[in-house]
Amino acid sequence: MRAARPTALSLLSACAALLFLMLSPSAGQTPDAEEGISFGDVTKKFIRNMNLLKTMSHDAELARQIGLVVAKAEDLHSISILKNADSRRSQIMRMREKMLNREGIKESDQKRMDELQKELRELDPEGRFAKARSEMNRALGEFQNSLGQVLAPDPRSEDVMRLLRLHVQYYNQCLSKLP
Amino acid sequence: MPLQTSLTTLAVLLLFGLVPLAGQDTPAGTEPAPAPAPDAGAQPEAPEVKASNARELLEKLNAEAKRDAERIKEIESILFPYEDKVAMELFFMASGEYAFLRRQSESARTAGRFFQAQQQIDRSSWDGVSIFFDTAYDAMRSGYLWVGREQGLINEDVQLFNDLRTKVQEEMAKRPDGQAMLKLAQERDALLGKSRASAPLLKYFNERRQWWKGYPDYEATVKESVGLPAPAGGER
Repeated sequence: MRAARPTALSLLSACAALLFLMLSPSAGQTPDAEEGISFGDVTKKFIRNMNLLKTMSHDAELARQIGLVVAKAEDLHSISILKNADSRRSQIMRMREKMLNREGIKESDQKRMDELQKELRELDPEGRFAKARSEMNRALGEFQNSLGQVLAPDPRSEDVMRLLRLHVQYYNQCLSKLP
Repeated sequence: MPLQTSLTTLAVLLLFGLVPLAGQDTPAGTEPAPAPAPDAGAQPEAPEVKASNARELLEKLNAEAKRDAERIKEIESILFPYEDKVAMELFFMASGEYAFLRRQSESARTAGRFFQAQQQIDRSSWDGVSIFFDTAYDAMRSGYLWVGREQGLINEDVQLFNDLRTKVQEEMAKRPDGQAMLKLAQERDALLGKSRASAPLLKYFNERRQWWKGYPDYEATVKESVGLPAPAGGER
């Protein structure tokens, strides 16, 4: 009878620990299936579309400029997916969105976000991602300027130019959302 | 409020589906839908008869839609090369150029749907942007360059193609073998019109009805035991 008590207690504490792990906001450090689309996914699609647009453009200079933007996007992508950082970034963004949609901010959410941000800093102490991101921003800015400066666009490239503008606008929106 | 609207829509749709079954007037816009066999003995007091007619009607519609689609394809395989040849001679177009214009102009409806979907995209979310990139990519790969265009420009393209087509058809009318082709063109237009008219009914029966059946209030509202017993094939 005496021996049964510690066993029951340890079983109870094991259950409690399991429950805590399951309910803990930091449960599962690995990216889960519910995360949905990440910035890395968007970047991959951006690169894919820009490459297609490059093949569709009739202007060699335009194709060269698209190539430069794609190269920067590829750099950013390779850094953004390093060491699972992409999924952490997505988590932070989604938590931010949740918090904005709620009236109050949950303390546990705030704590989890701080943790994730700390992890991100530890993963990238040199701030390579931030540098790549600002280079990407600069490249996109220059590209947008040159798209705007084309006074007499080749009519054959008109549709491609419109598509490029849309892609750059949409991708810029994504960049601005990055934590 | 949305629930109320949904239920009203459901009621309207059910009514829409059941009216022809009861052998009454066909709803406006679905004129080409084949009327169920006018069976005097089937004046629908008995609900089983209604349901059986509903299935028959659906089968008939599906079969007819399939037949029409095949016929349209068949006509196109004869008509389009002829039209393209006339256009090449008339406008000195390159081979395939007229066919390309036709395809672009006939994709206007697809373009309309694309623009509508695009308006609903939430640009500030990664999911929204990802959807935009995917839809744009698919459209670009299919050769639809209207992705970045305005609806007005698409309409202009359609108008331009229709003007060219009128000229091509005028020329066809002058040629001895063109008369038969014009008849084929008219048949194709009629079949396309018919398929557009019966599309809502088919969409309802083939897709939306199943969707509505999963709706929480469906069973409470729709008395299936009276109006729509489950078909023998085990629809439910």
